[in-house]
Amino acid sequence: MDHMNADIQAHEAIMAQLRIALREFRNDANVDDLTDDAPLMDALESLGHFTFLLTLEGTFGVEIPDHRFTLVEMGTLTGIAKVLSEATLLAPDARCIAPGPKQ
Amino acid sequence: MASFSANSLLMTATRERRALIALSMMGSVPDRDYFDELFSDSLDWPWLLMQAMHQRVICCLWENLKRHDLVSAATRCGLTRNWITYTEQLTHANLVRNTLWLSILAETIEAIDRVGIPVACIKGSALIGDIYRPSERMLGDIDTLTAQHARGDIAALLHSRGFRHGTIDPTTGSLQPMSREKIRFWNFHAHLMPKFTLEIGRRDVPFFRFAVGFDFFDPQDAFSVPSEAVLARRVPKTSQMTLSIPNEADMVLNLCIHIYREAVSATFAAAADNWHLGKFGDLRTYLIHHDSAILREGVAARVREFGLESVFFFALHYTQCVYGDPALKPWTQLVDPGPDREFLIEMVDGKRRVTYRRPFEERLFDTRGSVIPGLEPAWRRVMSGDAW
Repeated sequence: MDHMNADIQAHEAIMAQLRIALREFRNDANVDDLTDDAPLMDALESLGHFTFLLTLEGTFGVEIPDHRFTLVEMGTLTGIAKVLSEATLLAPDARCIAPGPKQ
Repeated sequence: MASFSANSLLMTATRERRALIALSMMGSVPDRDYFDELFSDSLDWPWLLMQAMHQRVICCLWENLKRHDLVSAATRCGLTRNWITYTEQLTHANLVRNTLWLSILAETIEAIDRVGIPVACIKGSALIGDIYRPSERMLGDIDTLTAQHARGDIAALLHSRGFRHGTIDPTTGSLQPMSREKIRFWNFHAHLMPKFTLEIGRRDVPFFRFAVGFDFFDPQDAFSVPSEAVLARRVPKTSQMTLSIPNEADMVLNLCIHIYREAVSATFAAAADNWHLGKFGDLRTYLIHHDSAILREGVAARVREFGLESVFFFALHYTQCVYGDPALKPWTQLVDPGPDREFLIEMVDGKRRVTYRRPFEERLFDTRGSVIPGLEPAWRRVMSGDAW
């Protein structure tokens, strides 16, 4: 159970940080309208979506494998969080992701 | 010659265009009288052969001239010795290259099989040995299909065997590496991973190009045929048992989707790459060669399963605009896409769509390319034209 709780907390922390990053990228406070599983292309056109993904490596201090840079895997906030979560496990220098207040 | 539709380009286009279409046809072709009429006066062979190259059928054309004993007739209407010499050399080089590529393909697929990654060969390499001889079909690369979850594993395996992502520089004969941003952009936007290129170390065939794709459509497209479903039904290729290919119904779907996806693409329009007689020839010949009531039922079911009525109809519609072949009639009646036929003149880039009214014949033979008004392709904002 502890493992499961820790996983849930880590996922929520990534999601919160992801929403902050998206808000800053879009310069728009209304990203909460976007649900976790909605296509990110509802909020960003394709080139913007791709550019946003490129910024996340810096934000999270991780390296995303090239083959995971796909719309299939990173088309929603949930999908991006999953890829980031797995990349974080492989990155010793990943930014400490602490749960923050819901924005 | 009553058999082909009087409205088709095969019957109504200029003599050069009709000659190009007829000489690119495999299997059943127009009768001798048709060619006698075509070759009754001089033809603009430089235009015809340039177009044959653009339409990816120059080797078919040359092999058909020989097969149907038309070389002498062609020379009498203007096909000169130089064109014959170099077209023959090009066709021979195509045979050498394709034979080598199919051999390297078999080794590569065996290596992929050994680590348990499911893969199927599609398009050219699946059709050679079935409806084409190795000298006839032109290959820009070898297209394959695998599962989304195998992306990382297949890339790692190919890299370990010396494959790299890059652009071939024909001036130096070298492979220019692709930037990491472009590799990622490609993965993000296309149904293919960036092409994998292997330096073979031979001067006559320096490179082997291998493409790994997914789901038959780009990820932003309105349609998708999951790779896993196609791979689960794959069958051994009869003429090269180490290779797997999609089953017949999935082959038909893929050939139709190939025509549709590239025809409606704003990216392909900018590169004058929307239409090729080669693609229409693939579909027509495959359907005639494999036609059966069971296959038609299977394709109709698959079309319904994936909601591909407009895609299938689109491919058959334009194939018949070219040939008007009575043998394809049962196929044209297989699917009803409904009364709205606007999809026949739509161009697409990602989720953006515009209507584009320009005669099909004009577009088929256009070698310059054009940007579709209101549809600047996103792909070209990052990728250069030679990256594909």
